[in-house]
Amino acid sequence: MTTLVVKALSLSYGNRKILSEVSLEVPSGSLVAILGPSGCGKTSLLMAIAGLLPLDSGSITVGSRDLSSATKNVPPEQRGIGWVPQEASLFPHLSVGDNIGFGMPRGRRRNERVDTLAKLIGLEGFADRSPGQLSGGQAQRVALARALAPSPDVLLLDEPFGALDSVLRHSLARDVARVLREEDTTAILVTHDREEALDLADFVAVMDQGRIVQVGTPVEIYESPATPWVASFVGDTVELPGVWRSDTLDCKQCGAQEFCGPGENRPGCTGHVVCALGDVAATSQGLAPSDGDVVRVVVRPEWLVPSATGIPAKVSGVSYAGHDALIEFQLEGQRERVRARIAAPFLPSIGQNFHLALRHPALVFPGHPQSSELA
Amino acid sequence: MFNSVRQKSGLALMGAIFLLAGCTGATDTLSETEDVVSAEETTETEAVAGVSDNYVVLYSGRKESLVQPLIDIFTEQTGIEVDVRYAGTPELAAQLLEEGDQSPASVFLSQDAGALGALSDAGLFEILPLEISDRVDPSFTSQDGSWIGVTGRARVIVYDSETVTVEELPQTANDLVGEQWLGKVAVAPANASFQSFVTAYRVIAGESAADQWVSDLANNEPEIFEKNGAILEAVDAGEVPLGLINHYYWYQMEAERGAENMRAKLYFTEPGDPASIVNVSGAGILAAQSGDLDAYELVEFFVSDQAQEYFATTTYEYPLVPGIPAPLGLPLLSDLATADFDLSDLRTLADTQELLRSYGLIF
Amino acid sequence: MGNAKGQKTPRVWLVLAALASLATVSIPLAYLSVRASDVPVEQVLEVLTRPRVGELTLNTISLSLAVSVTALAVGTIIAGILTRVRLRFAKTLLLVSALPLAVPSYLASYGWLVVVPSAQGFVPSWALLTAVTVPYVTLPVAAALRGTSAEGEAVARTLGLGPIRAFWQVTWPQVRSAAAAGALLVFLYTVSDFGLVAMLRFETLTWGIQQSYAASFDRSQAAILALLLVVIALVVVISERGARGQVLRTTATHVVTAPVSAPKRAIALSLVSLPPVVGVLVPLAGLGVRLVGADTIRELDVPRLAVATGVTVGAAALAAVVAVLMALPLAALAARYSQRWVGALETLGYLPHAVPGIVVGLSLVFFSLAVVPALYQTMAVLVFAYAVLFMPKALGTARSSIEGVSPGLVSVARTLGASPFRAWSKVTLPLALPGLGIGALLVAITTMKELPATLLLRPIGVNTLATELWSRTSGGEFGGAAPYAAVLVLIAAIPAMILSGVRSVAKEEL
Repeated sequence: MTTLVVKALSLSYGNRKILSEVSLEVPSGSLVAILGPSGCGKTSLLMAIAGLLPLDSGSITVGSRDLSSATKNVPPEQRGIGWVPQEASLFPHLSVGDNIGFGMPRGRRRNERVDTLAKLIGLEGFADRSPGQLSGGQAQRVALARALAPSPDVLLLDEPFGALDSVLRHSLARDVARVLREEDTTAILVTHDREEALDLADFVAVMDQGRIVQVGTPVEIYESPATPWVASFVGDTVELPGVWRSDTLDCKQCGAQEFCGPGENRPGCTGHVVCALGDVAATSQGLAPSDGDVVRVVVRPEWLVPSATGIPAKVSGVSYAGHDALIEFQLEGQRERVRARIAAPFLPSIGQNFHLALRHPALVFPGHPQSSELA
Repeated sequence: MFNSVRQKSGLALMGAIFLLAGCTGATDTLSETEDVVSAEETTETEAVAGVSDNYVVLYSGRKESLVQPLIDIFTEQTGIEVDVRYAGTPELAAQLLEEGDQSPASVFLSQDAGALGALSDAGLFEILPLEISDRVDPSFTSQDGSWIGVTGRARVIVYDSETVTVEELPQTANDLVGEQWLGKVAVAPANASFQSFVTAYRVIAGESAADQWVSDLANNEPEIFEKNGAILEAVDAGEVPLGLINHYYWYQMEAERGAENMRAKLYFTEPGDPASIVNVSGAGILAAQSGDLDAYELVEFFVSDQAQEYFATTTYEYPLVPGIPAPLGLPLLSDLATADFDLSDLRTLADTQELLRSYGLIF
Repeated sequence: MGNAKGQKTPRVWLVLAALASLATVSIPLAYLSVRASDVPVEQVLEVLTRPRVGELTLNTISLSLAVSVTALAVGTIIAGILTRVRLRFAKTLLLVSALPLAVPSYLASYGWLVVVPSAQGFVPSWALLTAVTVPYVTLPVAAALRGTSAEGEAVARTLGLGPIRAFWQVTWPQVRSAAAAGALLVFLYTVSDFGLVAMLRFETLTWGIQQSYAASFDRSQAAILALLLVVIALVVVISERGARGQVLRTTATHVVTAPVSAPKRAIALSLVSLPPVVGVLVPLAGLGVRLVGADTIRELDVPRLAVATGVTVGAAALAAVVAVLMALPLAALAARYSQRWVGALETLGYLPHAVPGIVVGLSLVFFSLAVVPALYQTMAVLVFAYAVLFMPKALGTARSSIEGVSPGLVSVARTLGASPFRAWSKVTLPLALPGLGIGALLVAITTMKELPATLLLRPIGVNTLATELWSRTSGGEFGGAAPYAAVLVLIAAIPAMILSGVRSVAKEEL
């Protein structure tokens, strides 16, 4: 099987440390997204896996093969790892067909494979065209086919959709995921676009400043982020200061009842927090706060809903996105402002008064928030 | 006077050599080479021995259109194949010096005596057999017999006939540095023929007079050229009124453009004046190829009556072999000054260059 | 497993290949050192401290700097006009702008002297040398400009910059390295030129070198002066590296030519035509005048002319290939690795170009007799001499064309299973080929015109157009020389015109 295992990989360039003790496991046949801001080292990680950058320490294994270790450094051409770079980087002096078939020895097998892949990416009949005649999206698809042609064990995709417009990006991303599934290829997709990561990936690894901060399924990453930073990177957040109370709320009174479902006291619901939104159910992420501790409360805008009971608030801003809107609310009698995501078309207007309730346990993290700014 | 002293010593030398050589006619005692010369062949007319393979390599510092016809005649007459490398004399001299005894060349035909002297000084030349070197008047050939003069060229004044009248022309070298010629005289001080002229001046007039003269010349703002040909072009174009060149350049240009089109005209200074001394072009045999009979034949050919006439009629140069008439219209060779010095003596040359250098005429 | 600096270290075989190239190209330098050391140090110092030598040195430096700077400015402006201003017959104009390359400098000066006999000294030498060397700047800058878009300049204009400042601040940084490389070649050419300055009577160090051979027959003195030339060249080569700047691989979306008013168009046209007129038209006219006035127009020996042409073209083609092959390892090294010692190697590769042809010829006489005497005075050594002389012309364009191939493409090829060699031969080389072709063409043109080394090293009886031309002009037979001059310029014009059409890198990347 082609499970990729990266263990404690460290890499530096000159004096700068790019990657610190990065560990990652990519199960065979799955697509893992590496999500992180620009400069966090994700491209370097990819290049190290491809064998294009030397490591300081750590190891890389695919299946049972050692690719990089303290003793060994297999050159890129022997790794069986394909790479789709950020810009398609097609060979300008070769035709589309020759680009796709570049990694295979000439012959009938190659021609057949090129035809198959051309069809797979929807560019049948383009084999004789020159790369200069392709649009951006077409070029990216060719780059993908080219990387797949030699049937690599692992495929690395470095922000492949970055240069495209959003409509194209979306459809192309789906196509790519489909192709990967059909080829049953283990793949790593690097992106800074959280929606892309959440949509396409089986697992998401969040990276920041050369370190992997959290790995999990998209739902886990989104719903249970390990740190406030992860939370804010993966989705919109509302951050508030709060005080932890060790006693849990009565489920009937808890606004998150719907979320919890029947039964009492969900695991993880270890207490509640007092904040500007009132007493709300909360899950502490990994830590064990004591009663009375000041904590950071993080909430997703879609968890705030207008409700009969709840905190009074007045609409102070509307950020329209077509399918929904982020509505800014001024909590009455308080300094805090929060944002709630309201689905269209029933959108409130500025000045309207509502009551807001939280229908999902809030996330609680240690420490003081930076301010009462909205995240 | 000089001639007779030289001729007497030449005779004495010849006599001594004949006595020493005896009548065997076998060994070339004049050769300075390290090679052992085998006495394989003798012919009745040659007193030297060596090998002939009917092939000889010539390095010619004289141009192809002049030399090749002569070579073709030679080959036709003797059956000896000649491969010729044509290039400039300085370049060929440098090449021969670099090549040393690995040179493929047997004979070097040089445009001037300075190059011959440099090669002789480096020990690259073989001393020529007497019967070859004796064909030429001793004042026009090497003193040690390492090379032989082939043609003579007189130093002359060339002037712009449209702006200068014959009456105004300088009669002697000393007139050249007069005020009326300030900035109006073209010279090529790096050229061997000019340097021979200055050397002649030193010999004829003495060192201190020569020093003064060179100083005056330098102060007279001469126009510096690299080559005689360029001087002639400039005079003919009216760029500069007066120039010092070798006589045959003028004839060369006249043949190209027609006498009626020549704005530049020649003038010889008074007989005995250094400004009309005679230089020579010449040839030598490379010592590394000593014993090559074909080389002797070629050099001998250059100073044969036939070749000498050819030079006289083709380039208007002076033949150096007695009995061949000088080109028409030129002063007789005997009238022109030939200072008593070895044309190729490098020490003399170096001293002249030092003199020119001290007044900034050459670097 | 990474190294201390985080930089790649070059592979051993590449370094060895580059060193081998460098060693062969340094034969003239080795020869000069041997000859200079033949004499005691006091003598060396004596020569170097002569006031006249100081004058000659000053003349060399001032002329070369003047010509290089002028060629840089004029060449860039002309390239800008040709690529950015809407002109009729733009392609033809570009072709014509390359023609001065085909004219040997000694021919240019001779032709001018016929027309203007009083031409003498610094100014005519400067003007004429600039005219014949401007294409070394024009062509690469035009190619670089074609690869950049005018959008940046347009933006700068909207921000209030005038057209010249916009060009200077936005576009110039992108073409700077191409221009600098061209200017370097101009400098090295000027520093080593003898024929032109001799005829125009401007005494430079090459004049001194020639005098050492012709008057003093002193090869050591010549060597000392030649080494002085090399030192001067060293300083400039090092400065050029500093001026190189970044490698920018921009993609041109489309290049817009701007229309200009008629008077400005006239000025532009005059400027563009100036080098061809000065460098080609007037000299040929001068030669024509001589031809007409010549009584000795002998019958043209057509077979002889044909043979000389064949030899010239054949030798030039061979020399071009050998020179590019020799330049490749050094260029590949300099293109991909930025260590200082790599830069030093590249610098050394340019130096022999400053050495005059006669010295290179003599150095190869020395070397081939010492090492391969059987090959002495064969075409092999002659072609080798050309490659040694002119490899630097191929070095700059080879390096920049390899640099122009994105390392990303090579990385992708590696991940597709290509070994480093295969990635090089299937990706880098094909994409760099146009740039290598430029280098080859430059070498070919210059080889066709070469004279002093050819005279020394050619097999006996074998002549090129240049030696045939020389043999006639040095003997004053201009009637007979004219056909050879005409054919030489015509033949050399062909690669010059091809050059004007070649882009520096194959195609833009996507």
